Amino acid sequence: MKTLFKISCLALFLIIAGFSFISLMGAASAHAQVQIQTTLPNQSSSVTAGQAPGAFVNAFFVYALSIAGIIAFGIIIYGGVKYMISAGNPSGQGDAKEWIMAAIMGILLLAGAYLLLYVINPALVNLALPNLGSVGTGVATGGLPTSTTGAPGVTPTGTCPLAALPTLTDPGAIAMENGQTVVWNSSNPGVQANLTLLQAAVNQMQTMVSGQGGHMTINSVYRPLQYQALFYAIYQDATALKNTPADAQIAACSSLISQLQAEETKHGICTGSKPCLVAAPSGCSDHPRGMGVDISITPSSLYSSINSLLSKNNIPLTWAALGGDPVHFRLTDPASTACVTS
Amino acid sequence: MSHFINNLRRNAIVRFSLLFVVAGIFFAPLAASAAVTAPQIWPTGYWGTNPYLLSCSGNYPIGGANQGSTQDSYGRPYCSSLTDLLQTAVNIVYFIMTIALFVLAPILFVIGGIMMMLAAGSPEKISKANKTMIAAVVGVVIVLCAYLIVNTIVTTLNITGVAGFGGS
Repeated sequence: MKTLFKISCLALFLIIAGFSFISLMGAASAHAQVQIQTTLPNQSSSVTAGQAPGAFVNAFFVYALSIAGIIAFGIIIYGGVKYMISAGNPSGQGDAKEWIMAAIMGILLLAGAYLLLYVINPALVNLALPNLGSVGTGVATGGLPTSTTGAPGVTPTGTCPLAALPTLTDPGAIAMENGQTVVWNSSNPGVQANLTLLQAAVNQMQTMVSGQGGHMTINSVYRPLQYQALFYAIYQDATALKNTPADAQIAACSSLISQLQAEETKHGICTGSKPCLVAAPSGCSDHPRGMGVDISITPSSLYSSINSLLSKNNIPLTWAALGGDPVHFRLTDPASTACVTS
Repeated sequence: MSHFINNLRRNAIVRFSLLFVVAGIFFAPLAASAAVTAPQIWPTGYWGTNPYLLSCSGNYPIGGANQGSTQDSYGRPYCSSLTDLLQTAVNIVYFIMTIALFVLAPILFVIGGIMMMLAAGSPEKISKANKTMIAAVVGVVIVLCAYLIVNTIVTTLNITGVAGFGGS
């Protein structure tokens, strides 16, 4: 009976461990990037999307140790109860003692495995991939071709194959084009209602973060769809130019290219060491709808408890920790959730 | 054969204890932060908090509906995260601990007392009643030690982040 119980305990543990692992690793979403669907309890090594898998395996190891700890804890309690109820029955009490000893030995063995590896080399318990330099995406560093003059005597004519940049009409987009980064106003009433709620929530959060001894910086709030579309158009033209540099020599392209160069100098996209990568504009994203805000917090350890702190203080913000955008906060209860078209 | 195993077991315990003393001296304390917390059982016992033994503190997974938020548009919490799995297990163990300490042990102690009253001077029955009462007290001590044992092992080895054990 005891053996049966032990076997079923083990089987249960393996099933739980196996299923959690499969649900974690197998949960590849429709995104190009595989995203881990949940974080692990020990926040000191919680793994977010885009991190190396080693850290995840490491966190899972500690998670499995947690399960072992809880099982050992439960079995010692079971031993105690068994000892109580088998009073006057020496074999029953001996059995209870064996249970307790087995639990202690079990946890010692499991923890001993960690200890042994740690003694040999602490790096063994910190799984990590060798660090490789990242490869720039899109246009290589150095930016756009600078010359619009072709080889001597060869100046291609014809229409310019590059798409013209859109003209900005939205006041928010024009403000951002003129150098403003944090915009709290929109001409769209639904977006404006969201932004008003968002500003109140961010102010509350500012007080809360200061109370925790931290500091926060608002990087970006409302990004009009037009502005994103402009960035995307610059990115697409820059990518096209990288693939067919000869286009830069077409006479009809010269005004567009000087326009692109001006934009590039102004915003610094696709220059220096920055990878040239701009997301396609979507009216259903958080920023154009006025319900998303990018906030960076120092010390970064505050991120791990930020969601529980926010809900404890009834602040309607949630840290979304999106892949590639780890500073993104979302308004929990926006006034308007409709996608915007301009 | 069993004698040999017993001997080995005893030696192993001595060795492990020494190992832990050494380990405790060598490892500098690291900050542990576990999202799973141990419920308070003293003085009233752990009878579960809303929604009782099941823990629902997780966020909806990234990439799905209601991603990143703690509840959906109907206000339903998310109870399927791995943190919740551990927290629920911890809650159940603490609930069993509460039953053992606050229900089983007092009842067994009272039963021992009644047995002693009904013994009517019979030495055999008195010793049986005595054993029942002693076992109840020893059982309580073991149950109370359960957390201590596991916690000591985890903290001495400095395994950070083991849910509900080892540091704050």
